[in-house]
Amino acid sequence: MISKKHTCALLISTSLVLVPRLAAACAVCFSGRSDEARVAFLATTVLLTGLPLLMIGSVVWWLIRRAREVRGDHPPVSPAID
Amino acid sequence: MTPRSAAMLRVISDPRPRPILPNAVLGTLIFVIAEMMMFAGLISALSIVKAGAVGWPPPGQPRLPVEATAFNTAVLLTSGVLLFVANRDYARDRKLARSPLFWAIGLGAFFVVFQGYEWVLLIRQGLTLASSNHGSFFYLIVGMHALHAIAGLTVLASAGFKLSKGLLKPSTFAATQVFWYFVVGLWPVLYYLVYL
Repeated sequence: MISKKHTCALLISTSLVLVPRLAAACAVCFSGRSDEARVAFLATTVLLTGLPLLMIGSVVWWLIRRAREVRGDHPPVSPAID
Repeated sequence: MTPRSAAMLRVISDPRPRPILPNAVLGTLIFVIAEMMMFAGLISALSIVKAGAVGWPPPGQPRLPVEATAFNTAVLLTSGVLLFVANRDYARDRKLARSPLFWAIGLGAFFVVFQGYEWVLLIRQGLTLASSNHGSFFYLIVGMHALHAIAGLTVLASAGFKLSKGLLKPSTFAATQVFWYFVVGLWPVLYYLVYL
């Protein structure tokens, strides 16, 4: 059973979604007003999202290829460094 | 059975598979990935502040030495190429790797010293950490790279010392190269974003 107190808190927090400027819910959305700033926010978001995935993905892909080389399933693509 | 032949038999009959990647190289790769994310964060912050600024560099602040740093960038890139040559020579004959490795260390050291000299000139001209956002980002980003370059030079010097004594392991040399290529490869990106 939801108490009146919880219902009230839920209504207030939900209504704040309708007035995001008042709630200052997203600093990123309102601080970049010019087009240049918007592009910068977008580019840096893409960079910070994509870079770790790209780096970790590259290492995993290289390790899989190297494992195949060691097993002899694949022709050597990199010098041995053991 | 003598202890020597027993040891040889243990090596021959070792059922463990050959490692895919030496621990030193894997550890360095993970460290480099973490450091790349730190620099990505700094670059992102710089990009957003630059985009929001009225003019960049801010009026009244000294201009950065673009041409001199371009020369210094070429020096650092040459150091990376020489390390690559050292690795190639190391695979053929370890003694051949000494000369390009020491040249790579020398050029890397020149890069750091030249950067320090530029900093002294810029501080005299009034660009400090507190003078503007431009100064703060410049010293933070370039300074972090310089710290990495000094760390890279230290491990390169250690590798050079071990090489001269005939004690350098291939895995240690490979890990050293991974770190130095990171330092060398990152710099042109920073030069483009900070200086140009």
